Amino acid sequence: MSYVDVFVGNYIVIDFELYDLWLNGLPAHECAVTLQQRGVLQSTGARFDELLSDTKDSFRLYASLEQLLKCPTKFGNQSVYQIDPETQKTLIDKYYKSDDVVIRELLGRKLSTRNRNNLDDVSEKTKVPLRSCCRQFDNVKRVFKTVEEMPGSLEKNIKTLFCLSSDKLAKKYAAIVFMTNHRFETTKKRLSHLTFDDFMYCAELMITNWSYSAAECDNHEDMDVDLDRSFLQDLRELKILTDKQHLDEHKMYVMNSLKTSLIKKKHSSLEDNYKATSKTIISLAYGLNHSKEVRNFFSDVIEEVIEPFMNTGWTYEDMKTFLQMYKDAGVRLSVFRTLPSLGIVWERYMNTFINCCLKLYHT
Amino acid sequence: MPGTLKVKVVSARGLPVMDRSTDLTDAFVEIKLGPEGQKTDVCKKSLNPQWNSEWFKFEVEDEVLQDEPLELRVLDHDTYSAHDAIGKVYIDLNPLLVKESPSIISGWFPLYDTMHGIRGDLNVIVKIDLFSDFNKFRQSSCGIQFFCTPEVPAGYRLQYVHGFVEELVVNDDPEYQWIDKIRTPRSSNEARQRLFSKMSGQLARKIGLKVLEMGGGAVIGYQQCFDLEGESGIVIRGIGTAVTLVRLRDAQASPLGMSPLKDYQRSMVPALHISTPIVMTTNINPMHARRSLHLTHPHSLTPPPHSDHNQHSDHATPTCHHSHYHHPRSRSRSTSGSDSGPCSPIRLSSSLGHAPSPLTAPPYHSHSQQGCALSHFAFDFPYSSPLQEENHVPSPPPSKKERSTTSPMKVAGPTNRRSSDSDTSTTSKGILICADEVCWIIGNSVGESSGSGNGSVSKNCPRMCSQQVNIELMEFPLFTMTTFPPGFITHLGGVVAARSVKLLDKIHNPEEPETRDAWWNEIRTELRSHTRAMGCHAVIGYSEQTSICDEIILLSATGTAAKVNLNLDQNQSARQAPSLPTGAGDKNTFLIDRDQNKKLFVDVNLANQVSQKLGHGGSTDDVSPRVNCGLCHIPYKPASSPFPINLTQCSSCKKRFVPDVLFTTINPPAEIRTIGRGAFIQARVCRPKGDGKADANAKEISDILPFLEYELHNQLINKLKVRSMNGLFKLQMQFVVGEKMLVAVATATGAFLAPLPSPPVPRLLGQIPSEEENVALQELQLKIREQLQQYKDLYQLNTIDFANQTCQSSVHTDDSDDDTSDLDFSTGNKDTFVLEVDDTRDSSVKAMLSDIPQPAGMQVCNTSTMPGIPASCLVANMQMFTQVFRRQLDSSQQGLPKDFSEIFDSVYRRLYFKLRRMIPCLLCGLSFSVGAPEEDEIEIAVTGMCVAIEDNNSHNSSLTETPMTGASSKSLLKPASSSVVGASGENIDDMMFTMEEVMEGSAASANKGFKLRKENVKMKTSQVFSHQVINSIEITPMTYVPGSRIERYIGSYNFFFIRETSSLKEVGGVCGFMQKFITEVLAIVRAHVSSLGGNALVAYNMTQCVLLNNEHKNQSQCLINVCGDAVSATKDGEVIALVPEVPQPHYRKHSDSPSSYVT
Repeated sequence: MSYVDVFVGNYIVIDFELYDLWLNGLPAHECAVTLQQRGVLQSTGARFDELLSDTKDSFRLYASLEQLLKCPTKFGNQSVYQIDPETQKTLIDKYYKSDDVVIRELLGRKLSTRNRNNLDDVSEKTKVPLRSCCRQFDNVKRVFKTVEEMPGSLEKNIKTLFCLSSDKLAKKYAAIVFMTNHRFETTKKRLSHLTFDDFMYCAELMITNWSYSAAECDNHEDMDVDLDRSFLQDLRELKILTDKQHLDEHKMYVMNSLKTSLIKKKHSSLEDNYKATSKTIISLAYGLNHSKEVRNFFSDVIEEVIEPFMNTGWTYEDMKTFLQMYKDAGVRLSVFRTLPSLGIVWERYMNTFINCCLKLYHT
Repeated sequence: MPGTLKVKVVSARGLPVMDRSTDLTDAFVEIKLGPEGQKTDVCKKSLNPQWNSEWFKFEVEDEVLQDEPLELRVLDHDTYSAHDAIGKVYIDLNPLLVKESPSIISGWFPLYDTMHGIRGDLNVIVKIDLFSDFNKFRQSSCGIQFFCTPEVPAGYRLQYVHGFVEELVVNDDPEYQWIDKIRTPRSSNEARQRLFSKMSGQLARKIGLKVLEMGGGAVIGYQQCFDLEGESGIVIRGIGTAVTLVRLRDAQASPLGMSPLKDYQRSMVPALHISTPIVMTTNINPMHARRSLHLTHPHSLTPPPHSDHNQHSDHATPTCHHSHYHHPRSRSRSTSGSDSGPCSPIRLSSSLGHAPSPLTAPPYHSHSQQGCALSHFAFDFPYSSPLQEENHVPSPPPSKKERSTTSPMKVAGPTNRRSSDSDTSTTSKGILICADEVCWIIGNSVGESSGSGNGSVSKNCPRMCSQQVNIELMEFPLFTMTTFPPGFITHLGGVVAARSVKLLDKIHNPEEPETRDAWWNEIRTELRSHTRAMGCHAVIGYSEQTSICDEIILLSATGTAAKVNLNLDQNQSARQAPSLPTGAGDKNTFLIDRDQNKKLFVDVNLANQVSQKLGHGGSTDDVSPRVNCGLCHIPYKPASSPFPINLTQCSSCKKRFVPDVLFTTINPPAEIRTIGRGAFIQARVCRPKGDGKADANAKEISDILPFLEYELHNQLINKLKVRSMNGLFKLQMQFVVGEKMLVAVATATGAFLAPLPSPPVPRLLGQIPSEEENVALQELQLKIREQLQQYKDLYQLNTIDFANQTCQSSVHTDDSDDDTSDLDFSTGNKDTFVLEVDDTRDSSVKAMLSDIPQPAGMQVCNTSTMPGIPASCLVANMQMFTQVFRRQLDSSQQGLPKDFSEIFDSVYRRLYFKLRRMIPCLLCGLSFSVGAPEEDEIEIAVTGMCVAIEDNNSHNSSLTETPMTGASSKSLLKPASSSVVGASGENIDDMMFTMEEVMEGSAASANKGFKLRKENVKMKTSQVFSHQVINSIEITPMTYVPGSRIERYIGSYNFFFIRETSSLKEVGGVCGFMQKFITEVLAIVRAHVSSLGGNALVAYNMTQCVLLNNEHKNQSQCLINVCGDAVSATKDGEVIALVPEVPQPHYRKHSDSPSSYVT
């Protein structure tokens, strides 16, 4: 009926209630209905017509702001919109906010156009509107593409390039980028019980401890999207622990120190399985040299380390004690006395590994 | 004043990708001024190219500077094919040509492309070196300041009003030239933009010439209109009021009263050497004669001598030296008068050559005047301030003076004994004299002549005389201002309007657009005759409008007939009782007529003439000393009244007569006391018409017009009465010719004027054919009563004792007045306002009752301030808005009126809904522009300002003054901050940065997001604006910025934008297109304001918004013209945020925003 109906102000004023609805991907009409149900009209005495007009108007504005939101640094360089910094910050933060459930689904997928077109199932599974899923997908892809090849701290890069005000959000994206870069397998059935939070926790640890930005790494020039190559080289040396003499020595230490803290049954079961478990842990370490095994890191951990213990009824506490002992006992090994540098590598690997394992140990 | 324009292209940012293969752009810039063009190097493969070019120089005549905009065009270099256009920047150079304005334009300008909108920004620095030229035959008028502001600009005092100036410029519309068939839409649009810009430059220059001729130094209330006549071309019209302004200085201003730095930045003086020595010498004497004259007069005329001197020296900024030589009268006078200096023959002959004949100047100008001046001088000198004496010091202070010694002024100094005092301004300023001074003299010279004729040189007398003479000489002047200094208006007559329907024809000779001139002259003459009929001698709040539909053009002129007092000495006018002896009479408020001199006078006074006690009842609340009921008194003798009219005794003074309603086109004058709050009132009429051709069409339109006017007027009266009000301010009427309909819309702000009688209760009267009808009528009456009460509550009019009025008889009112005793005013028992109703569904009654109520806490008006809301309650600007609404109409006979009002209702509802979160607020400066773009379409464009108001219910001044005084005590610190914010140049950038950090820091801790902030007024004002303070640019249709003080005016901005798209769907349909376009227009306006060193654009007006839409072809084109005055304003709060008091807002913010909100 009315075909020109626009309202333009000198300042950009954002109705964030509306903005949230827009981010959720609701079409204008549905959005207006939602607002009506929330009682917006009661308090103002306006009619649905005005609400709809306002909604459409705002949505047009958001759509044109989206160009900037896709590259938030442009906000500083534009003069088209007069936005106060506070509003700008909120706009960006909200735009880049993501739903963990959706991100969980996106993890491990290739960020290809084909996958983008198949987001329907994600939307169905997560009950998040498709448009919102697409936005999150695009955000992830954009962030990934932007920082993928960039030297320096991942988190910092993301934070500055996307003008994010919260560290949490930047960390989240850093984790996603890291995971995506290594194409960690997360979609397997046995991993389905893990949440995004679990992965994010692990990824964060890996970034801080295993990548180029780790304190132990002396070559900081490279990107922390990748794992520290010299560390990976060193991890190969750990293979020595699978030699029989070291394995036995290690086992002795571990079993001795666990005698008091474990109940007999568990202790004996560990005694039986020790060799296999220890070998797995160490092979995971030197496996990190091969990208294919890196990709399967999580499923390997679950399959070969966590599940056997779960099946024998180990609690989280048991697991924690064991892994701690396992690490501490390792240090006391004679090999490390002769190769002190290996001790550092062992610590660096085990600390992160233990934390990841425990995080993934859902009882 | 030819000059050298220097342009430096620094860099660009955010360019679009022009080369798909590399995703980059090879950009370079073409710089054009007039026909001359230069270009930068190509900056390869960058979206943020840095050129850092050398200074491109253009040596041009001032005519070119005034007419042509500087055009910068960014292109993508292409080795093999034509370079691709990226975008353009047009920079109006006029602000550089005016004194007191920045000498540099520098900043980021959005790169605008008519097909793609804004694509990146360009960083440019533009400087100008002007030097004087004494060519008498020049066509330029540099130095004349233009103000869109329809009042005396803040910080100035009105010295003289010279009268109405108008001009029109005609050209072919490039859109309709044959070449348009073969060129791209882009080049066609650009050709148009360039032409429009050039034409408006020409127009301003021509008007400037007229102003110079009149002796003025500035134009205020400048209105420029584009008539897009289609095939027959484009007409740009400009009207304004020529005035002489004097800058006011704070007490703490620098002793010499001149703005330092600013003026010296301009390297003007050295350039002077270029001009030929002969010309210089010829100038010596006239300069001095005049200079001394002008310096003496202020002493004689205005009591405080120093201030005047300060003002003068302040004004003597070097801009338009030549302006002196323009005015034949002044020249001849000075040459003849200055017998003391050596007049070279060349000089004499040249002056004679230019002035048609020396006789044009009244003979007594010469010697007698000089004599006067001398005597004044002698008389005044003792009064002059020590400053003045300091300037006598013979050895000139260093640098500046040194320069000026080379000037002819200094050379001439010794020959003239008054040179010493004349140097108050010139020594440090160089030799150029501003136009203001010129007109001072000329304005004065008239007074002088009559003064000397009287033989009296007493202090005020000549001035008075000069004014008396002036107003008569002006012959019913038209003033485009809408707000006047106190004392200016003595009587308000009422609204006068004239309209005319014409058939457009091809303009054969664009140089001499006689027909268009003749049309307007005709209309203005008619308007003047109405003014005379009302016993008035001036028209104020004057405006002109056109509506074009095919070959029909409807011209209208509107104003308020008034008696004015041109004696503008404000001290004096305050003392003076401004009632002229003309005394009582009768009056009519609304005078309507249409084309071809068929006048239709509508008697408005349908109502009573009951006087009321109200004067006493309401007077308890603040009565400012300036209040003066004289303005409402009828301006002429009853005997000469051409209309039957009802008059009442003035409720305030009980001596003279007042009409029962008063309509005006001006803002509420401070002198008129109003009671309660103002109300936004709008009347609208839409009538179908046939689709005849040419003559038949014109005839039909002119036949319908009177009925439209009548109905419009009736609606206004009804709506006014139902609100218990008796006065309308800022009445704006718009008549639109559509293909199949005629539309008339009148917008105004109603108020209750204390001197006028209180309006009667509307009562319905009608032939009642049946009982049923009778019941309906009763119900309607009841409804009206209810509505009446509601409105009374809303507008706080309950204080008026309406009951009292009825028992008072009106008969005895007149006896006090002697010359009116023969008239009978007792026109019967009209103590009710009777509405004749034919049937109960009568639309007029319905219209009266059916206005969309504004939400609680939101006030609406179209004036710049709301009657009843003191200015101190207006805290800050919240949002300037533009709403464009277009809708199809049911063009059937029955559906039309209903649909039509529905459209307006929708507009209001949307507006109210959109701005709901700003409550409590005042929507002011609301301006409606209605169009009928297609057969059955109506388009409404509304602009306005949403101002936050302090929510104190009692709106008693005592309450609101507390914060204000607090602020003003801090205002001592203001200069510091204003220099930082207001200064132009690089150093602000640094400063801004640091300040921003401070602000952001504090704001960040406070702001908890949109909703919270909107809900809390206190927070709202302290926060929303705290972070907008620093680098935001305010755009407002008002002449002021609430909570801020305008420091200086930097130049007026006027630009015509064209935007076109051939991919309408892709840009989000016509709505998306319009929204984007308006946003971009505002962005460009802001960029220009900030590049001039300003932070606000006042008197913003979107004078044109034409949308041509072709959805089938996926195309749209839109034209928008905007104008306004760029100013630099200092926020009251700014100081608080910067200097030691910083903690204060911090505390408040912290308390407002515990961190719990966040988490």
